[in-house]
Amino acid sequence: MLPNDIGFIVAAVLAILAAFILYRILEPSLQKLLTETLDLPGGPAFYLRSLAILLFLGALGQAISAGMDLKPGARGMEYVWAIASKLSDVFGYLFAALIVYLVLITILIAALKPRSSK
Amino acid sequence: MTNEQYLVLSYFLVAALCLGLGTVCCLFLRTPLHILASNLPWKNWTRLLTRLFPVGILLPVLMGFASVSYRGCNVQSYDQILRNRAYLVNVNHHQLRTSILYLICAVLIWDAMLLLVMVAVRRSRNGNDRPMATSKES
Repeated sequence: MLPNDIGFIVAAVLAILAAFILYRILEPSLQKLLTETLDLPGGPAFYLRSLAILLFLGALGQAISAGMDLKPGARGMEYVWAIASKLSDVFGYLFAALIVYLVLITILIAALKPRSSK
Repeated sequence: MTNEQYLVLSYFLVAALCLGLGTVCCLFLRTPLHILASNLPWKNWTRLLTRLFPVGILLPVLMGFASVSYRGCNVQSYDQILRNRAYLVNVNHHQLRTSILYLICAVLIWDAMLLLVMVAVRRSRNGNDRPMATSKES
């Protein structure tokens, strides 16, 4: 296996892990909020699933993007730097994705108003 | 495998992979969308939404894939493209990444559209409730 392949696989696994942790942190409270806000059944599930796609696929897409340039016989720290550089892209993407999603959910809450606030 | 064989094979494989990703996302979101759409008061709108959804997801995926060009600043001719295998692999990664980005944009647009639909449903329900309330008062 080539050094770049190893780097890509490790970066992809770490990106998915980061997305998973983020999803697990957000999911319970977001589900409650969406269930309180949306009248139509299927709405909360649709928005939660779209968040999952946004986080998992997006993080994976950033992890597999081109840019890792490890030569055969690269030292351990070179792997670490290359993977850290990839993870920086992944975290940047996750941050931007969360901001966009948060704006969308804020508009949703403002427009529909949760039942508990009425 | 020669670089030309790799180019042909990888192009169609990545296209299939992108389409597969789009299809998986479509199936993943289809069930809640169908439940949501079947509860809408306008039946024609429901039919339109459920029929447009796969197109609205798969078309952006294909658009993202096709928008990546093999020709770059220093790589203009077919022979120059074929010269470097690492360049071909990079373009494949770029195709995959771009189609994922387009897919995510499509999902966000559907989110926003469903938000508008739900606001419209809420307004139409409130509109229907109001005359009943006033008639009770009178």
